[in-house]
Amino acid sequence: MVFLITTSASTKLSSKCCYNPTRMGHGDDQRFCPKRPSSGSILLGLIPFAAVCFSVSLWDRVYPMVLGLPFNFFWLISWLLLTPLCMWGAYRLEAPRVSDPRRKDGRAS
Amino acid sequence: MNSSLVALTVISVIVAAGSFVGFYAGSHRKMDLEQWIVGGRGFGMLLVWMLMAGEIYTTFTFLGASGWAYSKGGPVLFILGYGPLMYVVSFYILPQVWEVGRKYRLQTQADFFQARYNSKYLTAFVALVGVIFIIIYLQIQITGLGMIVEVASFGVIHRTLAMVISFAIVAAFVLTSGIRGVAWVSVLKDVLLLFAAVFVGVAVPYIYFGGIGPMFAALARAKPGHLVMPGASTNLGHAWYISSVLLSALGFYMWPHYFGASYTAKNGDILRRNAVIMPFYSITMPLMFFVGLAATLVLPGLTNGDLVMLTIVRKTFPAWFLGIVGGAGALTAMVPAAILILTAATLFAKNLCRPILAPSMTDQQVGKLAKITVLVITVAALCSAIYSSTTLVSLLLVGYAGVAQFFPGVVLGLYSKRVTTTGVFAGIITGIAIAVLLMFSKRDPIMGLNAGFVALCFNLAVTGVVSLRTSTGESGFAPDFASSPVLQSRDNREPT
Repeated sequence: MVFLITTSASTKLSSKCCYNPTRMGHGDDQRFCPKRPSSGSILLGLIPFAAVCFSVSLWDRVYPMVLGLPFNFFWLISWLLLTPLCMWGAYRLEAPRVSDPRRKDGRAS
Repeated sequence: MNSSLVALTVISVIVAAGSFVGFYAGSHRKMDLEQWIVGGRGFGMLLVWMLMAGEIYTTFTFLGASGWAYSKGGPVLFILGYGPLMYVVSFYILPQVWEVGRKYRLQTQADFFQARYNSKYLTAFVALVGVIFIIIYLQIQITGLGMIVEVASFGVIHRTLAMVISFAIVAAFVLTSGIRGVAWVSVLKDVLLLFAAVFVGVAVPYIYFGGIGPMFAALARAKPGHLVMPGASTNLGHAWYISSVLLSALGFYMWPHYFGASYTAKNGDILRRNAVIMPFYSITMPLMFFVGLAATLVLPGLTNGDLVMLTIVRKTFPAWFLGIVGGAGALTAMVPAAILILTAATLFAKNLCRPILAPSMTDQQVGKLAKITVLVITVAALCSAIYSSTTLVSLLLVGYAGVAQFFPGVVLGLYSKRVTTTGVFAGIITGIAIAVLLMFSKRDPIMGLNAGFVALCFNLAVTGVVSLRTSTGESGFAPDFASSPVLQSRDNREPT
């Protein structure tokens, strides 16, 4: 579900870059500018931040123990596994944008 | 044979094997500066992964994490918190940094500032700050190595002597093998560390409590407060946790050596994929915590928490096993130490000395100067390790508070056209000044917040305000390589 929303958000915003492509090739105006990550992938990256950082007072407790671990340990360990999942989603959003053949020269498209 | 001799023999064999791999991997290639510091920019996913993972598992992980679990309890969870988040941050900046790096043939973090802000004074300042905090980080590795040998020899070899010997080996290793050798040694080191961590982390709770679950049940009965924040401390609560996690997650890839490691990749996608899978690698970290937590009940009353891992291994297992754990620990100190020294030496020679003092130096001369600097930096770190007495985690937090101040300059530099050289300069100076002031006057944490994080907030605000006041329109990376003469190589060869 999150995927669908962020994908559509990213397609709308992905064309926005700090570099204006229409000015390429005009000598002095050619400032190299790396491509910004899409908003969709940034949103996916914020999920782990919310889960393991900002929400600390919600999960920093001993009980209920899960799999023999205090709840705070269990929570953080499970996010070691869930974070790659979020970032895999972010990767799926980012990879097609950067494998654009026009970007072979290292410039933003 | 007595136990200390057995343990020390095993450690020596492991260190010798590691050094051999490093010398061998480095001996096949002509060592110019490009090969020495960025491995010719040709590392694939596996080697980049090993290099980055190898740098991440340092002595701090091995001794410091278990030490804090033992002496502080709950607050140690901040390590488990920032672990995955720093990779999340890297996902959004390292591929872009790599792109800039390839375009301008960058070798160091300070080069990045040169490419973006085009000021040799800012570059030199960034290099200087980088070198200073690297020496602090090096100190962690040296102290750790000294502790390992001291405990493994049952106190026969004094820590200072151990530090001197092990760092002579590291310096020799850096000079001959360069970054490629280091990457290969980290393979050996990771296998050993993984084995040691999993085995000790599972076996210690099992031997003393009958398993990890029963250990936590016993802890929850005996010391329930130790398992949550603020644990055994009084001032490391939730606000401290959030600010420390943010500081470390944002600051992590601002370490000049981690930042520089991204240049070794073949392409930016490797870094992106790495960022996705790296959090799995932190899975051994909780095992270090388990060892420290088990020790709170088994070995109460140790004055130096950082020794807890080795002491409990010595108490529980035969001497040869202490040797393996010690050997793994020694390599865990040597690999990051080698990378730290290599980075600091290059920063010093290339970004501090050449632009400011001797602009006519060729690349070959810079390479030579870097190798001489290796010795100077090693000795500096050794001296500060011998005369200092803080815990490993506090040293690490000082380091993060320092290098995190590069974050606004790097990220705004990548993605904003408004940020100016003056703004970044003012921001970094403010950040460093506040961090140093708060930490040296023992006001960390301040109002429940991590002092480095407070400094970073001021830094961001100053960078933003000064940039807006000094902005004269658009700034950014120079249009191409040819227009940034400071970065060009001077070895009269055609750039490839």
